[in-house]
Amino acid sequence: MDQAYLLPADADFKKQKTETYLAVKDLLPFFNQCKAKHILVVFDGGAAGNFSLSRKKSTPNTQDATIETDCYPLIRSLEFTGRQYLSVTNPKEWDAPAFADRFEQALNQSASQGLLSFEELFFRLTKSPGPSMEYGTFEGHSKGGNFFFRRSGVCEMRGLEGDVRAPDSEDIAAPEMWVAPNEQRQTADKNAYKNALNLNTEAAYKDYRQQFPTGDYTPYTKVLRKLLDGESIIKLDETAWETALTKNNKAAFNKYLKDHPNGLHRLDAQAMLKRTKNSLGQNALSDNMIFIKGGTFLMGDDAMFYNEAPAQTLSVGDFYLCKYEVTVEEYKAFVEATGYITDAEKENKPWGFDAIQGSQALGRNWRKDNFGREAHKHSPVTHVSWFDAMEYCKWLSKKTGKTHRLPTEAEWEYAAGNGSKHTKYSWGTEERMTEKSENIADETARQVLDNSNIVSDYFDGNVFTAHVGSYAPNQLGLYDMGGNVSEWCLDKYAYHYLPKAVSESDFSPGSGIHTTRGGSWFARPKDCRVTNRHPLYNNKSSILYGFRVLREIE
Amino acid sequence: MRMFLLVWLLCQAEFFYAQNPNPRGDNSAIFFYVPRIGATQQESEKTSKNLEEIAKVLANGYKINSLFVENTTKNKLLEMVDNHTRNYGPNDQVFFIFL
Repeated sequence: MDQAYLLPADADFKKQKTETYLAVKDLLPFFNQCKAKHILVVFDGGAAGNFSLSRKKSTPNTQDATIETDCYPLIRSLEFTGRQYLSVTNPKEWDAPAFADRFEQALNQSASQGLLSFEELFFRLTKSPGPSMEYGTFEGHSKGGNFFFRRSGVCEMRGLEGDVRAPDSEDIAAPEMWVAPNEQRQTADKNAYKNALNLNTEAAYKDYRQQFPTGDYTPYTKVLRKLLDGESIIKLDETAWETALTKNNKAAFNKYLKDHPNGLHRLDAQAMLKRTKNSLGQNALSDNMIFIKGGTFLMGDDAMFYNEAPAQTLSVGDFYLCKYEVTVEEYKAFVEATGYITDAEKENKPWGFDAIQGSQALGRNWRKDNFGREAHKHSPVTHVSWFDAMEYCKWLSKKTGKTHRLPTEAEWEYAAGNGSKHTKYSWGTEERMTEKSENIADETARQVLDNSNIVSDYFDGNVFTAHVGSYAPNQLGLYDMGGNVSEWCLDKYAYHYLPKAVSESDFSPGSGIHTTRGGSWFARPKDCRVTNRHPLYNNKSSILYGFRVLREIE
Repeated sequence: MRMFLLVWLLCQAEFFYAQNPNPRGDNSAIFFYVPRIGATQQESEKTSKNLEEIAKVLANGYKINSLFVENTTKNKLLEMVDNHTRNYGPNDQVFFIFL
């Protein structure tokens, strides 16, 4: 019992536990390196005793912990490091949904106060009938250290900014008075930032910074100011490109290239000049289709993750693939034409990055960008589920009379890896990236993201999604295959890729997990490998995922 | 004597600050969820939904931000725990849940 294991997604029952299971004790070195004051770890079924310093079992309906209701224990606990865990002791009794329900209820009871100690949480978890549990401490714990779920501002001591003092008798007698010392300043700071955000002008951000030179949102205003500069340049670029498209002649495209030698659409303009006059003026999406000559290639990679193996020789037929990811503008046209409501809008629960909070947040959808503003029309559409992507393809097929769909994993990997060459990355064979190879988690992102994924010394110039086609295409002329957003594929996910026809059942709601391919603005280069596979429930969506469209050969 | 008193006061102040850190640190939660072998899709989705509800309570009630890592492999899980545990400072609190 003492040797507990966690079962990761690639656990293989045929092998020895030590090979593919994750021993709980193997997590200890990571917790040891963590400098956080307090760490609380909750495990599913299985004792965590193999790394514990102390263990204590509890039976239901037994109060064996002290309930903390005021601020003093919290203040005291901050003097000591806390390393605590909680685990269900009998895996056979384990019922994950029930446990999660109880956990939520226990947290909820103190949510209005914004303060809940670990002991109280444990007491509440064991108060109602259910599986037996144990709690304890592990290496690095100091007696007195205690994890608290605590809302920012609760139990902060009175006084001026930076004033730190021990609680006195008056404080202890009136704990409700221990509110955030800078609450007013924080509120003013937040309101000023919101105002600046609404105005979204250089002057507004400057005013904010003058008012709050060390404000909570000062770093964001600096980023927003840079984005604003970028937006002005992009606006001019876009206007010029739209003019060229409207005129739709050689002189107009040449003028665009002359005025914007490094413009976002320079490659499009060059391509337009090469095309015959007859091909100009067609549907924008059709114009962006690249013919991919089918072929045979070695799909997968035995040397990487389990789900990329086995490498297998596959053939794909000819097809057209859109050189860009589907944009907000294109998706908007679909929504306006059909009145379609995305899964994210229906359930209001996707995960997005909230640039104001500097963290992930609920309630995002394709209409807004990371700053809560209207998403730019040339940004890739995000917060779309697999179903949302499929509906778009159906609409496009009906509209154009040509069959459009998502690419299969095999087609996607073939196109991303430059056909039969099957390069490791869309941009080539080396992990090292040249300037502007792809939009990934670069140094620019460090300005607003506390993200350990960030690639040092690589600057792609975009924190979040970039306008489609902003970076160099791969050898087949496809943009953003390695970054920007990860893309939905047609076929259902299996641990090991199986080329098979997609059946009707794959399209029924809740039919399971599908695969997204390619890196994103949040990814490191190694996650951008063309063989990398990311499973995702088909009704999920987030700021990391979008899609591109394939057109079948008639 | 006055100088000695000043030095003593400064030492006391430093000791006091070290012993009483400001409770302002970052609080965050990380959920690692791998559906149980043999669990039905409904069970997995229910658990996933429950975890999202927990995240909502943490966000709304305690202003604690959550990160979800679903269905991940052993190597990726260790890598993510490694990355995340490096990122916290001495005033932070972090809550891990492995389900």
